[in-house]
Amino acid sequence: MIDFNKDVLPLKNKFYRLALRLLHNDAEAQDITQETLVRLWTRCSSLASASDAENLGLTISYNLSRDALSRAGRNYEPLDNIDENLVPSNTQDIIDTLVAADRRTFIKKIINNLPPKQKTTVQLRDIEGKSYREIADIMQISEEDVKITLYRARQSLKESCKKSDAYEL
Amino acid sequence: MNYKNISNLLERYFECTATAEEEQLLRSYFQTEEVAEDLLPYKDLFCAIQSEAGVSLPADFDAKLQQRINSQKPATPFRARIISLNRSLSPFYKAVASVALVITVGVMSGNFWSARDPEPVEYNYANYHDTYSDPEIACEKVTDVLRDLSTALRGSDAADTAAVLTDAKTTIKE
Repeated sequence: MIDFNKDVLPLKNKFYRLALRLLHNDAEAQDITQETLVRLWTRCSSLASASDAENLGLTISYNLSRDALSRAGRNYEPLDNIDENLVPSNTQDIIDTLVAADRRTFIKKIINNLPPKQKTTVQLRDIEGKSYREIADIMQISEEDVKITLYRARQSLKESCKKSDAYEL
Repeated sequence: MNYKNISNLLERYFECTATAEEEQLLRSYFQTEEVAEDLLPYKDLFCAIQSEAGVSLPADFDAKLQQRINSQKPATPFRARIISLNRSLSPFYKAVASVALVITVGVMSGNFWSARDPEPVEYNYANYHDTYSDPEIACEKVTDVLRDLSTALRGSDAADTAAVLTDAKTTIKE
């Protein structure tokens, strides 16, 4: 049995980031995270480890986000207002900083504009550091499907990196 | 780590054949300042991904969550109660009693209505009315009745009875 405040609550940002990645809407992502945590709270007694709670929470967050997407009848939409601090502290030249920030913003947009399954694999593998097996369980698809989906996503990102370099973004 | 190794790892990363540890190695490499010139386009990809890992919920989220969890807790804890067999069967008893009452009332009212005589005997002769419209048929009926009567009168002479009957017939016809 695990403790909700100690083992589950610290995972909230992972659930939130996944929902935000799929929905591009902060309020909706917060609602889904809250719902995910409430469901985990009711099941705390049946969970053996924090890792189980994490994977179950990601599965719930993923399913709820997909339901929200299908309810709204939207597949994926571009996110234009990315308001994160992209300025690296170790870059002295302000122009270089702005150029780098622009390029990273561009890459984030590329990730967000990937189809939902592709960006979920990128989110879970590259950002949350999950194994292929865990991603397959969370997304309820086979491991092979995970690899194929992630391969397509990374190929798109690779092309975008080349393009952004060619256009000197 | 030399350029060739990194270039090779990067290729395997995009082919999805790199292990988790190798991918982590790549991320660490691109976080450093010494990135080879032709690998620079990919530095931004890894840095962008890295910065995404820091996206977090607003500070007031926990308070909202706690409020929601508190609202879901029951106001009073549930207590187990021991219920006797009689008490647990009381709804069944009530149902049986209701059905029995309905059946009793139904049977009693059925008997009451069927016991009533629909046609009471009329003793007032003034209220009598003709049964037969044809006098011939009426005469036949009366004859039959009288014949039965005569048969019943034992000890009487048959010839006398026949005479009485004929007379009665004549009288009726007249």
